[in-house]
Amino acid sequence: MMRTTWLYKKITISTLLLCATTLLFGERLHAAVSWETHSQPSGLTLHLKSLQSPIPLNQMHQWEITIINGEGLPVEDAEVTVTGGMPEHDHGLATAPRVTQQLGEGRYLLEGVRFHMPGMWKLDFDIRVDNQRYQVEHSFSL
Amino acid sequence: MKHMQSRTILILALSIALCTAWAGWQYIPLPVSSTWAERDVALLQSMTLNALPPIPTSPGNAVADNLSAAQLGHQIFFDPRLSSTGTVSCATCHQPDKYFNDELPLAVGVSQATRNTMGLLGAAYSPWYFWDGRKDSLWSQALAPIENPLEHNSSRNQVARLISSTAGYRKQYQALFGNLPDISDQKRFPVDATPLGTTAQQQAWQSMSAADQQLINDIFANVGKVLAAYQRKLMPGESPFDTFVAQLGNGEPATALSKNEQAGLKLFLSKAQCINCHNGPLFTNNAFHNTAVLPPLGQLPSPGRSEGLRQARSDPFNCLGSYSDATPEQCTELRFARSGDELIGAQRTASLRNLAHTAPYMHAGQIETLAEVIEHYDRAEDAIFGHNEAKPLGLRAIERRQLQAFLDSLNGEIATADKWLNPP
Repeated sequence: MMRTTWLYKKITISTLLLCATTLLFGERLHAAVSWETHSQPSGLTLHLKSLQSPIPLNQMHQWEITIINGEGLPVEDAEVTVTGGMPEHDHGLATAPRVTQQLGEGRYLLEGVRFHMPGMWKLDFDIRVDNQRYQVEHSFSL
Repeated sequence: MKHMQSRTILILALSIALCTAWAGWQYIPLPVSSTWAERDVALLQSMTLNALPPIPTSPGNAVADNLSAAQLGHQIFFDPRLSSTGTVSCATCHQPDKYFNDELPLAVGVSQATRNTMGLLGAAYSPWYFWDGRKDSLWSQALAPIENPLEHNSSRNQVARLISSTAGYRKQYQALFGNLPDISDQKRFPVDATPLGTTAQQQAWQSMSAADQQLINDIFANVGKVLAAYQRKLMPGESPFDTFVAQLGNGEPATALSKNEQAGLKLFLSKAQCINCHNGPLFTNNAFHNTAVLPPLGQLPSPGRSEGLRQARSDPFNCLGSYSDATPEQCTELRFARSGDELIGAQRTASLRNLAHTAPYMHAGQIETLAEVIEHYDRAEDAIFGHNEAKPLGLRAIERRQLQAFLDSLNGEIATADKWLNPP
């Protein structure tokens, strides 16, 4: 009898936890406009931020990319190229965004970003610093 | 014998049962919840005309929001003298009583053109124009049909001459753009010249000095700008869908859409995936997609946006060109436009508002009815040119009908004052 009650409790607690996590995670997916992500091979940390919040649909906007090295110092003069798309639909980005300015302290301005569909988007950052090539893959839901 | 009979009966009964089950599955509607989650209501609100932001600025067109420019554009829009035959105006294909459409598969100007007429309601909201996006502004778009040999079949010199020699146009033009140069010397300014026309028209154009070519191009570009100022006034009006969402938002009984239409709306947002491209208050993302629409019989497939962007980039009347009033920084769409093989065969997403008035559908009017369009997306067959972004949907027959019922709820009035809808 005791065992059965515990089992019910366990099931109830697990279900509640699962629901709470799903809700929280779901909200974060939609609310987030900035992320921290790491490169392959390791060595760089990228902070990605849309300058418009929430990320708009069908509207040109800008992002800011901050690049930090393994010692926690900002990386200047990196060559950054950005591609991406929606793997679910086998298509790329609607536009060809480019880094147009270095803003100092490892920050780079990414112009020409426009997402034209809701759903999962993937951005691929190719970063060259001192002849070393790093890649960062970042997915988010719009 | 008896054994044979009972087997036949069994097979017959099984067949009838299977047919009934199949028909039931295809045609009996599944119960659909009549409640709408808060998140869905927010999404629906983003698709109503209430959510439409102010008309985007047009940095390339300094007179875009000038009333006098709209009035002059209004007169030119309805003027058939803008054609070689004196019979074709912009309103020949963009007919106000047909929601600025013509109900034809292919537009007919001085002869039959190669594309389905695009509607103009809410056109000011698009960053790209034509099915293949070969123009990056409404003012620049307005110039192309005038010189298209199948549409107006006119030329920029003829247009400039018309503005210059019509007292009313001349006066209004000068009030907007300053002095209109004297172009009466036919040796210096041949009557019929354009760099895009027949050999004779091109030779006439080449006979002009670069400075005189620029004078003509200035007048021609300004005609495009006043036409755009007029077209920026043309807006779609509310539909039963907009009323329905307002009812949901106000907590009133949401009666503006029937149960069937609501079921169609739910499919629109989910299983049918229409919302992916037909989003926002105008039900279009104004982007370019290859959805495997076949070319009309006997014609080669259209290269679509892959070629359209190439043309837009080399167009002297684009946002970065010398006839544009924009600074290069303002030309973000053109500067950051994406090209590539993926855009082969991609056409611009059309608005789904007022579909009752825009049949037949697709870039060459290849698909006659809305039911067939839905079937096309449901099947999502491989493209014969490029690749089809859409995937098969597996819609049941009843679902296809519900989806169509919802699309029919997007028909409304035109929200533009009558004076702009009739010839001045």
